[in-house]
Amino acid sequence: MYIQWCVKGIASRPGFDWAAAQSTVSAQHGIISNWWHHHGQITPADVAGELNLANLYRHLNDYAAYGPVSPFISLAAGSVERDAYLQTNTVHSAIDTGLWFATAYGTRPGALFYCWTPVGLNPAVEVASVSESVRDLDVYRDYLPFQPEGEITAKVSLPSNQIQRVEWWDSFAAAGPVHTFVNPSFVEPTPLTTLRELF
Amino acid sequence: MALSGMIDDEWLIRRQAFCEARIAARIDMDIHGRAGLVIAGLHRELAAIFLVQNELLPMQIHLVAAGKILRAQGLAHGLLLLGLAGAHVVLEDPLARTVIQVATRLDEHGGDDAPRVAGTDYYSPHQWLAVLQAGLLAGPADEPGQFAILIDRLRPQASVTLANGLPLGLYLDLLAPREAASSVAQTRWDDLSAVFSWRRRALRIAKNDIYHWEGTLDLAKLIDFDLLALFVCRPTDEAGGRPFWDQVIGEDALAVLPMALADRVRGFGESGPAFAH
Repeated sequence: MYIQWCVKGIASRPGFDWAAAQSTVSAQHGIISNWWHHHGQITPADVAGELNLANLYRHLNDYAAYGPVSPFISLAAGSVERDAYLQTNTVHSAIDTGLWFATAYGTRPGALFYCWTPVGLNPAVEVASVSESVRDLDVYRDYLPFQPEGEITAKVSLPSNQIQRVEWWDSFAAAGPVHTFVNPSFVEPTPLTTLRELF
Repeated sequence: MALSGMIDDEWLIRRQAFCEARIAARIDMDIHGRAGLVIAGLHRELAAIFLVQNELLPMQIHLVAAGKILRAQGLAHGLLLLGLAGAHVVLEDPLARTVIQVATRLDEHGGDDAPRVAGTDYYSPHQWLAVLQAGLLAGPADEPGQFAILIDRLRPQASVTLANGLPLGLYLDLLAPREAASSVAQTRWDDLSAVFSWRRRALRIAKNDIYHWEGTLDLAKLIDFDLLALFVCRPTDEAGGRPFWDQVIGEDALAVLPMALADRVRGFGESGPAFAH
């Protein structure tokens, strides 16, 4: 398992403006999946029934139909390392990808959430507590080249204490966000890593 | 070839503005770090956007911008992009020279006066191929000259996968046919058909994913600079008459896009754009 910093872009819509984006963090709702939104209440048994490989592929390949009820949450982590670059000739910035989604492809304002999530070294779709590295060439090889998107897929929800800050962008053409809210309840991922500082 | 109806014009305009804005946001960043690779990718995407719109001067400018950054980072894909812009710098490029030297001396075993060049990047088949592509763009494809050693070294690496998903062996047999040949269409029709089939299949699957197709299409990948370079080097209409893809319409038009666009790019650099060096 490793810890991956990510960005989640969410475009504005009725009921989701800057106040709602800030409340996602300040009220400790976190980012919840469309599946949770759709059902209102979920149980551990419900979760177990939803997290499987078939549904993950539906999330990745048929989002128009499945996205509104998907238990998965796409996150942008950027890509790629230099070795992978030689094979793909492409580096995507997580912030660019997040901003493209957050502004609904340049059509309206939206929010960028900066967060971290634990990612499994191997596929573990059924395990809700770790995210999947779906674009990792060593894990999921059968990707299509035309559509870069979220490289990391979280499951069911992303706790608010893993969200460092949220930004509100009026437009991708702006020099920066018009609002930023730093989460006072944010927890650094340091306790989960193998690094121990001396004192 | 018009792309009307295949790619939303308004989407293209927004994507162009997005790429320009994200380059501007990184104006003060060091192009030799990872940000440089992101900037190069944005320039390359802009080049693709301008190419499909048949705006060739801005296309060249962005290809050169991307190529220079990648070249400065020791990535031979930059030489390919520069070559497509008509800036054939590969002949004097230190990276290309080193790659050729590495390929030439690959079989040497110890005891040599000159130490072996170290560094993974010099030994990557993808780097070798990019230097070869740039070399063939700079001169007649049927006379690879100093780049012939790269063809010899790449032949056994047939199973390596290119960025577009095609196997290197298939691509190389089209780029540098084993037999003396003047035209891809005349000599490697089966392989060429395989490329079309692969693109048709990949596009059909991709377009079924409406959400991502309409929102996050990577035009640089759709153009496919590897295939663009292939068909710039080896035009398929040498037998005379219009190439068949001029008449291709509908779903298949995107499948033949890099082949059709190669006709727009071919011939760049016979004098070479002054801004490229």
